[in-house]
Amino acid sequence: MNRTIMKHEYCLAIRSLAQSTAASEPESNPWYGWQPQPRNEPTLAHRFVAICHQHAERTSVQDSRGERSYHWLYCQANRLAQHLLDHADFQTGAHIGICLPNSPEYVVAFFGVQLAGGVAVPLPPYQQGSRRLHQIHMTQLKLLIEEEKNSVAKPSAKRLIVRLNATKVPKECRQVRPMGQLAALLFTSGSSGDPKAVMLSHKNILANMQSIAKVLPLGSTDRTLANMPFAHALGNSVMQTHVLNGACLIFSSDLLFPTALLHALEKQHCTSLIAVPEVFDFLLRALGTDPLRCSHLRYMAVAGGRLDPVRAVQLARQISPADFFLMYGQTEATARLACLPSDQIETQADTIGQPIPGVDFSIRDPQGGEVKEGEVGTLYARGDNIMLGYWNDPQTNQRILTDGWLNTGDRAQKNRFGNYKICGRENGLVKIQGYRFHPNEIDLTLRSMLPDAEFVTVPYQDQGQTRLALFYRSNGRALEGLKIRQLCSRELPRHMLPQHYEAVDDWPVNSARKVDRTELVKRAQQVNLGQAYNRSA
Amino acid sequence: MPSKSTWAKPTTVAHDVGIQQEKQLKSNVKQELLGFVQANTTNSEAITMQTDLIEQEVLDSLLLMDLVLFVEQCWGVKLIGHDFSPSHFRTIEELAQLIERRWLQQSA
Repeated sequence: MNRTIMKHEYCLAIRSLAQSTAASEPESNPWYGWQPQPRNEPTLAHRFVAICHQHAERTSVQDSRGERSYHWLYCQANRLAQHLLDHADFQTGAHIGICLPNSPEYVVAFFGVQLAGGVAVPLPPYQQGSRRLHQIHMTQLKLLIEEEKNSVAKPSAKRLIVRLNATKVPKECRQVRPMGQLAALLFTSGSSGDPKAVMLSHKNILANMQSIAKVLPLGSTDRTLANMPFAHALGNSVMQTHVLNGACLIFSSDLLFPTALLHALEKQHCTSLIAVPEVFDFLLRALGTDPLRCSHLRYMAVAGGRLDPVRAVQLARQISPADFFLMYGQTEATARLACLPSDQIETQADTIGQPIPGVDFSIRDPQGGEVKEGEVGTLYARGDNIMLGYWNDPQTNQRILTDGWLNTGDRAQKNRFGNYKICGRENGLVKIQGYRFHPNEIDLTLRSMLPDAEFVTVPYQDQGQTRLALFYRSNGRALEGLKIRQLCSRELPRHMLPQHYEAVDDWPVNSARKVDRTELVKRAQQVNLGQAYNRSA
Repeated sequence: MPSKSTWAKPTTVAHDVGIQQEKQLKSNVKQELLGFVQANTTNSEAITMQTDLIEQEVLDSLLLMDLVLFVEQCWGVKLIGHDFSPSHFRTIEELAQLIERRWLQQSA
């Protein structure tokens, strides 16, 4: 068993976290609404097993190590499930962290956890510092599935290496009962800046998968580039919709450059690409005015943020005859809520289209009454894809979930074509690279590290891109700009890193005697413009 | 007001560039790019003109986008098509060469 692991081998490690979480963790279950999974309703595991049998010979995953079939995927997920079931720290319904980059191993891990009757908790793999620890404690993780070569793990940590090689048909996983409704926890940023874990049930994920498959031309012949991180709602959704429909996920490591992305689409015979607006912005730059030459491409879809309508129209023309879909959604709704079909892009690209099948929208005034057509109000959504709630946060759940309706926190209006248009946010959230979060989260993180100082982060626009400016003021010792930047780099995920840092002696205040954020936004924007101006003067 | 920005302030833009000025521009492009990349990464000391930004995992999609916007804003140079390839973005030196070439072409 001690032979070294070859580069081309598929391998995972299961790390026990029992020691690190035991001290702070009460044994009680903080999810007050625990419900058993109804016996007659399918789980992700049911669907996964059925698809693996139906498409046994088809390719499920492909990376630089080669192609693997659904039969292989099933065998490996089953193998991992057996390891979990035999593990002393595992029990049905246990929260299992998955800290892996997008890879065949990730897919094995996610469905292995499902087969064993656990709850999958994807953690962003390139994140360090106190954030990761906080997430582990918050969701009471028992076990963590990570890369075999993970160097962060202490040598003393209890780790079990699982090799994924053989395709011998394993014995069927023993049935796990009773199990809860909960299938996965996905991290997101709450509307006030404190990180939250979204509870998604088997029903949520299956319903969203089925709705998406009705609006996108998605089937078992699809081959998609899995370039959105799986720990993120959109990446997770791309993974679920493709695996649970028997399609093929393609992993390629060098997709940083748009030219490489275009090359990969063509070389790998991709039929679709689903990504955040930033990716398409970049793609357009690389394309220039040339039409996209990608013979197998059937469609592209943008989700996880607003793509500029002019660019959307331009892209739709350049990728024609392939279709282009605009989608809208959020983690709290599993992933996707609405879709604008390709044939309406030319005239309606400033809207999000209409709710996908199984989803209802309602636009309401502050009193909760439905507004008239054309009027702006708060957007509410209902459907089987709406989350069970945030983990261990009954107060917030009560506030944003009422009678099955989710308050999206977005302001919207319905136009005369029946399409919905997003007109802004109610809660100061920003969206960068598909990640929706409150700038306050940055301030809270820094404050916990440097209690002597005050921090205010505001979003500003730089050439159509949302960027962050961090202003800080010291109440004690002087703060070094470089120190703060290093602290940010260490403690914050990449999409939360501010681009502009500035020290202030005093906060500008508004008439309500609060920090005047509008003034700070102006200042950040001016500094940026000033730099451009200096150069052209 | 101690207004400090972490972005190195680029200083050069000229319409008629003599040889002397062109030399000046070249060294400035490099310096400013270096300043920008250093300001936007964790271990800024370790980054030099020759650091392999891709191999060392300095470049990610956000930094790449910001770098492109910075270049456009700074020198008015539009990067298109095959400019977006690893060979041009591998080191600051190589990127500076690309910018100078495009700058001369586009200002001609």
